[in-house]
Amino acid sequence: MIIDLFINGLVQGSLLALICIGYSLAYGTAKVINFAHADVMIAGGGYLVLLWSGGTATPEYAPLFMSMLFGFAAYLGVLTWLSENKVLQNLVALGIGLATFVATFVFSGRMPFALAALLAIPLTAGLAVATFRGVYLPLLRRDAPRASVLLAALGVSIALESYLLVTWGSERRVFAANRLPSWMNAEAVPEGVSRWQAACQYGVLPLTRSHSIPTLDLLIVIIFLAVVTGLGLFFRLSRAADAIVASADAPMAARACGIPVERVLGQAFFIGGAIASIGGTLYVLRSKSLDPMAGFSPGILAFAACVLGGIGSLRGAVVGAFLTGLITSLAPAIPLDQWVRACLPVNWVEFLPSLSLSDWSYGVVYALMILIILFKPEGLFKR
Amino acid sequence: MKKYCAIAVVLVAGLAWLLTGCHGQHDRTNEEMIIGVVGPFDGPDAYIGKEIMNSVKLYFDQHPSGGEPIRLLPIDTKSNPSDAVAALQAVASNPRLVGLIAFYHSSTALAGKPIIQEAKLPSIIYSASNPAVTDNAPYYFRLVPTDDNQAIVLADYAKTLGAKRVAILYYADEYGQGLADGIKARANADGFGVVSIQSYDSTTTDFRPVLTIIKAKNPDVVFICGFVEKSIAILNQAAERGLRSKFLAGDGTFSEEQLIDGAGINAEGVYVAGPYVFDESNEKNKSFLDAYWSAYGQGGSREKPASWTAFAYDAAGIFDSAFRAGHRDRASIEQFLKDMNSPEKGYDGITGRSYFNAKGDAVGRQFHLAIVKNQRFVAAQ
Repeated sequence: MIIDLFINGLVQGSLLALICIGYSLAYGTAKVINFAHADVMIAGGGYLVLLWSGGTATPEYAPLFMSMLFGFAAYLGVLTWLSENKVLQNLVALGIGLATFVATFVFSGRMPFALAALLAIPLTAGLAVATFRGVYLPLLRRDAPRASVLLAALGVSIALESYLLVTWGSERRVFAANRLPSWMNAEAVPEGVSRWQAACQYGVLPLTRSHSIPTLDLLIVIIFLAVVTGLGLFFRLSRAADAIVASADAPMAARACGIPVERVLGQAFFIGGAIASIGGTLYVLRSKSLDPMAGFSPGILAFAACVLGGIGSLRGAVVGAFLTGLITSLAPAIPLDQWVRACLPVNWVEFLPSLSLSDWSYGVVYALMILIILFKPEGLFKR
Repeated sequence: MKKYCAIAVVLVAGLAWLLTGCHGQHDRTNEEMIIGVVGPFDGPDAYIGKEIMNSVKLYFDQHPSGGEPIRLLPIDTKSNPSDAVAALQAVASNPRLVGLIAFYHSSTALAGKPIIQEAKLPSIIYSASNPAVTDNAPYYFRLVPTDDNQAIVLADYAKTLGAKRVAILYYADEYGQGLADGIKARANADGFGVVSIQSYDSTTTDFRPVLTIIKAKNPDVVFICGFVEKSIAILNQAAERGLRSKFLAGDGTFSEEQLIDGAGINAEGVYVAGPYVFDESNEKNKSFLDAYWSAYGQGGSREKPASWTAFAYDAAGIFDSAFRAGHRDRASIEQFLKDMNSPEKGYDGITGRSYFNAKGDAVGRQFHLAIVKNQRFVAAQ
């Protein structure tokens, strides 16, 4: 049991880490606590579902609304990597934005999964850039107080949620089981099936006689490792990364050196958004359902994980995420109700509500977070 | 001066509009009777609200009133007790509102109880099955069997399956908790032990840790006391975890189309309790289903609507027979419902003959068990 819970915790940690990295990048560079991050992520997940499976998971008018949102996102996303003062480049960005709008509208529900994922990732990144340029950047330019930025972030989050609410409706949409590829759909594995066949056809990879891991979960861990390795290499080797670090640590000096600080911060948001999209897609696929508020619960948990690990630090984000994932997965195994019943006088016990183990896991995470920041206010790792 | 003239004109025009507007509305409301249809029209269970409204509408389309026009007023609970209270408060004092066809969730029925009793608003309940709903509630009349009965039917079936160790997973509201408590109370009589009880709520999407713990306890039967959308996640994730116990689910999961769509092969062999199972060999059921499909079956769909639609349809029929007997206001309609206290005075609807006991619960109602076989609900033996 503990081994299974531990594996589940690692998978959950990988998912959370993918979300945390976006929070950390936003805070580490622009000093913004980006509450809208989780909503951007869910929008990305929803966009992928729209492109790929269309009908079952989205209402009829969703394509139009989503095309508009992501067409705009594409325009701003492309601009982040071009110089925006040149007319020609602006036109190129505009063209790509319009092409995205049309393509989304025409091809929604008809794209193969891989192509939909390839499109959704940069476009979600564009959406993250749109929140940055539309809201955070003007505030930063005016040197707005922290509280205003924080409130604006909350506002963006709620606005985006409402947009999705209008677009998708409030119903939680469960994916039709028969439309998912079989490796994504775990089933009971019959006896005498090879491991490879079990993983591809029944969605579960048997590890030992009594332990197994769902194929999708395994994929999540692998993708997480790939993303973290890629990000590590990027920050170690790339000049664009140097520019990001410089703009984050010493914006004035960076500007004096000729680094276009605002654009570079936009690029940081772009990377965070792209990773969030990967996380969002995997999260949505793992829960096999989607609703506009789906970002709230993982978002708030990832935020706690970030603070726990040290917000702004990538290493902290990953460590915090894994700690949180493991705690939420393992905490239900603590027989807290038995302990309480054993400790309390017998005539008290009947007044207790029925204690459920799973209710405690979030409580444990937050208690630990408070404890850690009491002693180490900057979190486990300082940037 | 010109400015004042303009303001005066606007004021006069506004006043005129207000007066005529009010007048027109007054005229119209004076001759119509309103029946409130309470249900989740928004939020995760919106599809249920839609089907309930469809079936009530279907009844009144088939049986046009001879006298006053009848208007159906959707009252949206959003699956949430506090939203239900707000929505009921907004309409309870409307004198043209003469009755409610009400409540999918027990939690909303309990939350709305004080308002409805105070407003003396006769309400026929099509789904809320927690026994406490009709306690001290003279204006609640319930067509569905209660969770007392459901818990007994579920627990006894576990005994039939030879269960010795059972686990219970319940949704943390009045419905889920009530059902879980009922099953637990029945454990001794049916000779099984409860090895694990776990709750979840509307924010839970990841059941994997809890299911892993349940798997370690190795139960023969797992009871799911909750609503279909979470039950789908539970069944899918249980398959991921390799949990091979038999699943018995309460009527919150009794939505054939949703369950099969979402859980597919993982729903196979799952038992689900339902307050009513449509039977196409029954003439009344068949004509209801045919009419429902021809009115609302999109693209010739012949998916059965949720079974509560049958009770909502009968609730509409009971109100209609009250109107036809000349009852036009809340007090006399309540008396009419109260007088339906014996089989002879009962209402003969598609769910059988309905009449109420002193508490306001329909007499002789029983839960039924269906099993998923070849991706369809069929009656369990």
